[in-house]
Amino acid sequence: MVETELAGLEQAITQITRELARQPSAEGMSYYYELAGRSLDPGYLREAKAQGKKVVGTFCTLVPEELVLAAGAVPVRLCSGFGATITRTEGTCPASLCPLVKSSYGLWLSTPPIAAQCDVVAVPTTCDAKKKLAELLSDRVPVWLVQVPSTKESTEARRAWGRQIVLLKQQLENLTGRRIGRKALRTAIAICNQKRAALRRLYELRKEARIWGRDALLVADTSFHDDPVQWTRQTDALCAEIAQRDNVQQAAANLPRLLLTGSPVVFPTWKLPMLVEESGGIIVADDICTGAKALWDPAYVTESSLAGMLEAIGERALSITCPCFAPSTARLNRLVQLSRDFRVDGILYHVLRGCHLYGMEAQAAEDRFRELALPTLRVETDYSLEDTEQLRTRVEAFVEMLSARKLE
Amino acid sequence: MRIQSLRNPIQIVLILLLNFTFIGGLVISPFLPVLRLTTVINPFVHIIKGEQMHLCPLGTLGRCLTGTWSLGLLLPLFGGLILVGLLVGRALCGWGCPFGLVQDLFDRVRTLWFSRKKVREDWHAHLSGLKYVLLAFFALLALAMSVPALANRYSEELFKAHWPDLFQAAPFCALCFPMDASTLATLIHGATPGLLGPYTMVQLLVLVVFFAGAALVPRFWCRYLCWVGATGSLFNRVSLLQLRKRSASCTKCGNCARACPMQCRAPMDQDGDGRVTEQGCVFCLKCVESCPNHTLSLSAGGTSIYQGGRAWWKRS
Repeated sequence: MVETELAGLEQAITQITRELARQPSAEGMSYYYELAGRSLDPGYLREAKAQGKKVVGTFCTLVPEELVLAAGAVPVRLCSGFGATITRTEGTCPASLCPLVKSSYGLWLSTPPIAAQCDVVAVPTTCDAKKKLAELLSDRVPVWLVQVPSTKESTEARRAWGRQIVLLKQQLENLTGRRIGRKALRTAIAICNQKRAALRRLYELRKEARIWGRDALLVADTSFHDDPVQWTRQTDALCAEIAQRDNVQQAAANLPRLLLTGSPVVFPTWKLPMLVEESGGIIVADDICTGAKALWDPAYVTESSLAGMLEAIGERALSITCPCFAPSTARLNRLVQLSRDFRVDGILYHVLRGCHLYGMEAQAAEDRFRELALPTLRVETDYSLEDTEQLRTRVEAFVEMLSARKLE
Repeated sequence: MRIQSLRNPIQIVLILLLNFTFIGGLVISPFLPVLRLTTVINPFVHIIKGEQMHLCPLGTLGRCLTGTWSLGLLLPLFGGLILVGLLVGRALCGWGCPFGLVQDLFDRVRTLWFSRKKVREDWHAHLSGLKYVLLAFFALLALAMSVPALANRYSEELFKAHWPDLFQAAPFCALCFPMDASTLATLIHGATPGLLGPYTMVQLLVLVVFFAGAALVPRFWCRYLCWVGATGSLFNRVSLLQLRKRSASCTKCGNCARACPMQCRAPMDQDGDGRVTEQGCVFCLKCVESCPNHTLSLSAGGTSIYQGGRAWWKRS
């Protein structure tokens, strides 16, 4: 039964990657299509396992990748975008629960290679659903609960997070039997910062609409499914390729530009970016967990001692604009900044049904956007494809309205 | 160009300008709110020029009051302090103070071994007031010494016996520690036994505090004890030079707070647009440079003159 289920998931992947490959933004995209195609069985995990390395599964964006790498382990993100795996969670998870968490748990129950290869799973306590997911998973795999503070604006909370980072370091050292030293950590930070820099260079090119949003999102989404050095090299090559071309995207240059924010858009649930770009818009920027959010800022090391570097990576993680922090002014600020920097015409606010953190911030965000005279389309949906045509009508109308405004 | 790689050379140039006879810096230096590099070079300068010009503003104040120097010099003294304060606040501490440079270099070495010690916020707030207390104390002492009867008595009984020239001229310099000629000169050039007195011991003790503090806490001296810096601190809020913040782009990443050697919190904590120059700020601009989102800037008279942290992704 599991085999047929996995085959179904593979089919969902192939369908989307094939659709994307029909009109790729660049030749360099094939690497990412391939990577996405192997979502259930990332090649680098097999290699790592063959070398005797430990694999650390992570959720969300708040587990510092640097630490995992410095310990000589391999991180992989387990947040799932498969609608089909949700059926397995019936009975365990309430129907109204966030589809990402249901799907991720369901994926684990179907035991694809990506799950089977994890030695441990680190789950940050970002939202209630993730907390309980950690509990459910702990019956099947060793789970580390990474305790994320509820605010980033109190000294006590920041201190507690600093201790959590040190604890995570110790856990990783115990797992791999390798001490995380200054040199290893410095190298890991450099690798991760280069990865972030590569993504930012790509986003600079998005300002000129040189790459389709659906492709750029896939680049970001796959950033936690390969060796970071390899991913960085490929992304640099992609940037070089699309920076060189003249006028290829001239058509895209005049399209209505959208900022995608809200709940994660996880491969292969790619309906939203596809719909926007089929409707004649282009997503030029995003603030979503599977997009730029996890990679936006670098770790800034002010003290090169071990404790200083741990502090730097801890605070970098805390700078991520996750709505689990209250107040969430930082996230709203980021949205305003993005909409200015990327000269967007409108906002697409994505809410996964059951994702209360993003849902409850939608109004505040919309108010901020209204001050900037930017219209917002709030879309509440899940991983099913049933509402695709309904969504298409709304997205098309929105994009049409944006183009009309743009012509004025 | 990273501003921090510019800062150390500028510090050295300014220190040379302000401290060495051959450039004429000694003529204006006693009237500027920055500590002097009198200690190490003093014995040489003494031979060349006489030591009287190597003073911090309070030394100048003391000498004017005791009548060693003309009272008329108080005018350029206060003029210098106020003018510099109004123009650049405490920036000379970050860009032209030899003892600031020593602590900055200490910091570089320290980070090879261990992290800085963060001072608890409430202690930090209280200790920051200490430098004003010291400023008031030395100013009052100088004033007291200007009363001839007192000055004579004290210089006779307490100071004169140990270090005749110096204390007669500006007695309270006796309590001024590492900055003064006596201490390091004593250490480096060897002390005449007769010159070592109880005050030299006090000075040595404070010298130890200076280096021990610098080893653990960045710019410990400047933060909590430097009364000369305190004169600049008084102007930080109103000076022409200001750190500004556009909070709309702040994501509270904490880079600025982590980078700040003076443990200022305002650049990160403050919400709303406007000035974030704290009294402790020495305008080293590490915060501006560390900001990934263009949130902080240095402005002069309301015009932004430096915005760091842009386009970090372009650097390899």
